[in-house]
Amino acid sequence: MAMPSYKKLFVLSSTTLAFFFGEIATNIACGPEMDPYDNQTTYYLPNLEDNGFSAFQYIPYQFLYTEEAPVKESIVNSEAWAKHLGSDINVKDIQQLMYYSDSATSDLVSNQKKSSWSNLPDSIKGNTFLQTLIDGKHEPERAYFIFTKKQEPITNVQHNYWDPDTRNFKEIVQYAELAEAQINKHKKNSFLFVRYAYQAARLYLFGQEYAKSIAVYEKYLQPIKGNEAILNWALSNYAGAIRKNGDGAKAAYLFSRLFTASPERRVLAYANFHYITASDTEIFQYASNDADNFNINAIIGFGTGDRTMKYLNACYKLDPANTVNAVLLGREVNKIEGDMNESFYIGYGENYNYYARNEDKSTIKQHLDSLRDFSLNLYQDKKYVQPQLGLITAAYLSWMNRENDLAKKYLAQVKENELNPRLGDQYQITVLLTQLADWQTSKQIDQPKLVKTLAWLEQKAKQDGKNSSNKKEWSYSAFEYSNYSLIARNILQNLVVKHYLSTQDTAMASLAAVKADIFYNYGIAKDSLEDNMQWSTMHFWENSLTPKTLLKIRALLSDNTQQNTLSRFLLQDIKHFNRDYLTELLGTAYLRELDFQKAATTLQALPKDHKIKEIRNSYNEDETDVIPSPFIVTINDYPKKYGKENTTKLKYAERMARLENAIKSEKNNQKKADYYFQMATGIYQTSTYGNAWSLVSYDWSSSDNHAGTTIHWQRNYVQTKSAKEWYNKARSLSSDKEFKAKCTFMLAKCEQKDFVYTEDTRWQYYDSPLKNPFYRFSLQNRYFKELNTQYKDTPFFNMASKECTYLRDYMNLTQAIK
Amino acid sequence: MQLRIRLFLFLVPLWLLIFNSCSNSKPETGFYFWKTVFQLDTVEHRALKEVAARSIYTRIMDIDFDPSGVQAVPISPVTFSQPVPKEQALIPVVFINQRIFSEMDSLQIRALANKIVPFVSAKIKQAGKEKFNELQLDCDWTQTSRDKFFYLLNYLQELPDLKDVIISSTLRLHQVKNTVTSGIPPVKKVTLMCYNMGNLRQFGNQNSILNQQDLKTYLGGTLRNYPMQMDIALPLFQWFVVFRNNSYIGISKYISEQDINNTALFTRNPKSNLFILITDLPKANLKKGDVVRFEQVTHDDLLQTAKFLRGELKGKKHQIIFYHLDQATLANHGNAELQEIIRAF
Repeated sequence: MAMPSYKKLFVLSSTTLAFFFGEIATNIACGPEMDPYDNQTTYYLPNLEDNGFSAFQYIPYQFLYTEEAPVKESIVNSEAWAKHLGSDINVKDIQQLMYYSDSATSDLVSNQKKSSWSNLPDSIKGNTFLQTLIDGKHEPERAYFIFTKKQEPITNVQHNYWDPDTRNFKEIVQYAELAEAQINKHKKNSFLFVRYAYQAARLYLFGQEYAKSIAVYEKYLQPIKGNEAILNWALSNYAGAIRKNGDGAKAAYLFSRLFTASPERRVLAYANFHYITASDTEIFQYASNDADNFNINAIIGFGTGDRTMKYLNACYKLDPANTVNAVLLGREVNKIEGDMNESFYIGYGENYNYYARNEDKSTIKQHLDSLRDFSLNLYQDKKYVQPQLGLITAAYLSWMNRENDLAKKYLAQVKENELNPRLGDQYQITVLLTQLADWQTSKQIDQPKLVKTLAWLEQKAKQDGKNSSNKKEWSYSAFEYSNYSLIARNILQNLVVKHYLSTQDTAMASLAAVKADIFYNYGIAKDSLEDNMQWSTMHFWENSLTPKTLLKIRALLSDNTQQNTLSRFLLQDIKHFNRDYLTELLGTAYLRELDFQKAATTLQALPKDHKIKEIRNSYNEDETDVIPSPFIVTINDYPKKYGKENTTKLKYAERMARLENAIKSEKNNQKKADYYFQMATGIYQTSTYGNAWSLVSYDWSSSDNHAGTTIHWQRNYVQTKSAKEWYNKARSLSSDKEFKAKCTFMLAKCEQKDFVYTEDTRWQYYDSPLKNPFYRFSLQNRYFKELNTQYKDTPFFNMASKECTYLRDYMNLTQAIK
Repeated sequence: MQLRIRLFLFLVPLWLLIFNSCSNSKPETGFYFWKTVFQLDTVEHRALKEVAARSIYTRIMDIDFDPSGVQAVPISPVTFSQPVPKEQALIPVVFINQRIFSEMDSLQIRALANKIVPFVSAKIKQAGKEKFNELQLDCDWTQTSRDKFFYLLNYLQELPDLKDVIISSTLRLHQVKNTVTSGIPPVKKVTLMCYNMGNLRQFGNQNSILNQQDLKTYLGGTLRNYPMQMDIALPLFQWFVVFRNNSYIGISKYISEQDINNTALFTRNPKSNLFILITDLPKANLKKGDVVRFEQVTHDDLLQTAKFLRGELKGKKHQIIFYHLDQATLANHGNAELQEIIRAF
């Protein structure tokens, strides 16, 4: 799976190249591993049916969508016990004693003979389960309970790599035999009969006596009808024994049955099924009815990552009403989404998608058509529990395929009041998508309507946020538990932001990007505007906004009367913004525009104690501070030479403005030339090659040099074009040969910046400089020729030809040719 | 002293000398056992008996990174379905992937050693043995991991639990030749792996398991000078190396000799060990045009190797260990063949 070139750029720049140059590499986003939940460009809710199959929603890069089992086995078992013992037993008490008490407690419990429970510790005295066990009327149950606790130390063994596995299989088998002896002491098929049989089979399995385990199950448990949970668990162990005993295909078949029947063991069944090496044909041999065939098709379908209609069609044909069909359908929709939906990260640019995009488009379209046909068929058949699922899915697929009118046509047929809540939500979302598609083409949007739907989506996301508080704390994904958040984020980021950018409303785009980011936090806005921003949004704000846009943004943020319905929604709950940060950004934007006057005026408004964002030099331990000094002249750009006094953005702006004015009024040519020279140097040093880049840029990457330009101010930051113009002016105004030599050399430096690396040439290893296109370009510098022919006798040339290796090599080369 | 007595005293050492050199004529033998479940069938038992194997060098575990890539842990430790036969000694072998050493400091290496020993001891007991006399470490160390691996070897020898145990190490051909960069492991003896000497992944007609050319290149003239007691490990196995578009794609478990000799499936490149698939082979997940290089070790190869090594190891005591004790592998070499190879040393 190829890493996108952007990410490669960052990773390599911060490690290889930064190391090579030994320079600063600040703010490089070498983030954590890709978040598979964030990665999905989806607008389609999973779990449209609440059927306990959420683990099998489609998600690339992960085995399961979620690790959470739909139902907890401990609760199911406790409820079964409660049912057996009587209604005054608290299920939680059973769970507590059975699953969460330590060995000391269970030892204590086990040794209670009579109801001398006044000696029991407080923590379990009130346990209704315990009280029942030791009340003297439930001796068989107590005996069973003790039995299960006794074997725990040898069967409940934690996995530890350095444990040489000293499991005592003989001892485990002894327990199995004890359990087996107890079975027939209880009434046939009674509660304890089943449980002892279950234990016997289980312990034989753990003790590696597979044939015995199978025999116990087949004799005592297999004949029992009914759908008690424990029968499924016995089936689970039976399948395991069959598997260990060598019959993979049969075991796979059994696991497929377990998969459908038992929510609490569903994931286990799925994992086992897919780890068994048996061909589909071999497994299908064991299927004896439609239900069996359905189970096998479903479980295989859930494990298939390729686009296919095979299992969906098979399952639907066998059992059209089954809600598992919805999950399979959803998977196919998600697969198409990966190929057809574009994601748009405002800081990264177009079509930044982790998925490889070299797929054959026609195969994808074909799959979309097949899926749409299937969905419409599902709707028309009226056999599925919620036939309108098909209609809504067909609409969504059409929208994806940019057939918006067709999508709207399908949606118009939907009867909203007949939809279950989740499907109703998907309907709303799909309607919104069609509205946004209209907006792209017609330029008009019903703002209140759009805001209403977005606000509704936000409410849903916030609800997810409340529910997520009981999920695992350490989940790194913002979207693992909230598809509403993901969809809201996707809508804002991929559709709304993109639309505003294409209509050149950069201000609204910038605010919409922030709103999209808020959904990383379930739609709950943090008080401060900047705290809500993700890296890419921040990067966009700091790099791509012009003064005009920033002024508009500032107006929207400060003045309520400037706002419209949509902007009010975007800024809702944001209580304040960092005015100084925005002012500094505005000043910086002016600097980039070379509007030094306005830059100075803007930056003067900042308070004296205003601190810029800290810039660390993490690659050179000797120099911890980056102290820009934009007006010093250096022969070599590397290593960067910093100054002693900190030149602030304001000081820089003021000086450049002064120079600008001085040029206008100055009559003396040499003085004028000097001013031009200084301004040119200012531009050069505030480029990525210079020491004062921090005056115009918020981050620096060692791969910025000789990159292609994508933003307007990079003509100076990357290509030093204005510097070149002004060095030229300086040279033409002067008649001092030494000065002209200096200008010519600086022109040579600027000329070198015309070279642009491609993806390939930048990262290639060259075993000789002559093979490096950059080096070859540098040696063909026309200003070197001028230096050589016209300024060879100057002291400056003497110095430069010693310090600048390119010039030196050029000289040697010219000599050699002669 | 009387003349007769003096003569007797003179002759005794002479006779002892003669008997000594005679007793070197038949080397001891052993087998490597390299599967994750220790279970021997009739063929394997028979092989042990026929070559009078003294030891079974059993892989106890690999040591490599856990899935998180953070710590070095036992990977796929052996389980004993049955005890190791009482006729053979069990010599535990621990394979170490040299990459674990890159971030380890001496403290961590000592910790690792102190985890390995109880683990191995427990496994020995599971195999039905009370103790072990030798512990072998198998690590294809590199220049960067060399010192750390040698540190581990040294430290193991200092542990009180191992005071009666000989620590040995495997040795690869290139390490015999380049003792300067490879160093000489600080152990009492080594086992020379006379296999996997060629470039497996390179497309071509070679036999990467065993070839006389490489043996001579690496060992000719240098083996005799290796300053340590040395056992020899000989290969008995064969495999099918697969290439697609001249690029290595793996070793196939789903092809047999029968398959490659099937002219409906494969065309043999004459006078070579290369076989080209003329049709798709779904059971092995291979496509038409894929090339299989069948590498095997013939009886002649082994005899030649034995002769060569005998020349280099003249007069030195060494054990012959066959890789490896497995019914399918042994099917290629009858017990009589194995005995002949042993005699050739």
